[in-house]
Amino acid sequence: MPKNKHPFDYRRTAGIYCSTSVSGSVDIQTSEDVVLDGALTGTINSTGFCEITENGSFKGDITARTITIFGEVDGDCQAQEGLLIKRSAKIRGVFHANSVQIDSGSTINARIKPLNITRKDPL
Amino acid sequence: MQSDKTGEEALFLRDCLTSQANRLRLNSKYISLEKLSAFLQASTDHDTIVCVGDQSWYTEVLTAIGHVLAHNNEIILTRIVPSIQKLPRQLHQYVLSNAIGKELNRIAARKIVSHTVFSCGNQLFFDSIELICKDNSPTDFQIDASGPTSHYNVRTSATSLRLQTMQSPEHQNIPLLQLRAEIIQSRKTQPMPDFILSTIKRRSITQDREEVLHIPILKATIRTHSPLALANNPTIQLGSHIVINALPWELKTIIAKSTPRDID
Repeated sequence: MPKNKHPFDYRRTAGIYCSTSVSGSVDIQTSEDVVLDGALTGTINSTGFCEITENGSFKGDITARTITIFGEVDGDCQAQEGLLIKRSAKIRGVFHANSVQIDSGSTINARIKPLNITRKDPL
Repeated sequence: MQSDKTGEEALFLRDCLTSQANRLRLNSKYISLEKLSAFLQASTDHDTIVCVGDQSWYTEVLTAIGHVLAHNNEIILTRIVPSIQKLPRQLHQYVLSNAIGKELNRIAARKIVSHTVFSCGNQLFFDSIELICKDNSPTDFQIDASGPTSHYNVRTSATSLRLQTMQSPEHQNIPLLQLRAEIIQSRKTQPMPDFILSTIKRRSITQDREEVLHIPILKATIRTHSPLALANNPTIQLGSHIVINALPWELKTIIAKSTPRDID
């Protein structure tokens, strides 16, 4: 059984949900929230929320408004609003976000960069 | 009328439908499913077909006459689901007669809507369909599905597969389905302490449904290790290789309330 079975309601209400028993490749472009609990590869481009759960692992690129990682992610990720790296997370690759929250205990083998912001005033 | 409705119940339903239709000055005729396709092909009128039965019966009728509906988009297919409540005979007949009266009023009001029809293997549906594995035991699913801007090639283990039409604010003009895979686990529940002293040992079996996957799709190809059947009628087998697609024609049906999809 998954360790963290449905701790939040939004998993069931998310537009796209894959549980622990799901594996394979996905190429998602959506405005819906995405919750991945399984081992998947591919690309995710969402204007909503994207969560890789404690049991989940994703290899590929993610672009979303907010990215929350409890599991494993290997790739190039861009979070428009916020990147949350939780205690159980293991990340690898390049992560772009202006707001980052890293919990102690997470394993990070990645570069974390700010998103490109066009400034009105010269520095 | 659903084929499992026989004897007194079928006679009562037929009488009830005829009398209620006469009251509303509707010209009605009872036709069996075997003769329906031939009747519609010969008919020149704009007929309204009323299926009397549950969801599986509606799917069966839609599948049987789908080829006629594809060529004649003036035919309307609607349904009446008779009550299956366990009531004393006379009360049951009163409840049934009242319900049929209301349903025929709805049909006479003719609020017509069009729906995209989907094919799922050899079956047609327009709202939802559920497929299950034999004996409710999980099997391997290989799902190759496409959405409006997404693609999924995933493998999972599941017991049932449900397809349901969905509305997406992002793609309002595209007919979308939500593909939902579940694992059904039967659980025996122990009797309540109050019943332990009872001479009748009651033990109920409840079903837990654990969701495995849900994704929005336009079309899909599904391969399974063991064959799937319709959940409502397991005698209808769909096999282990199922193609899900939207068909190029629309089904006209009658609804009770106005919706933005009204065309009449």
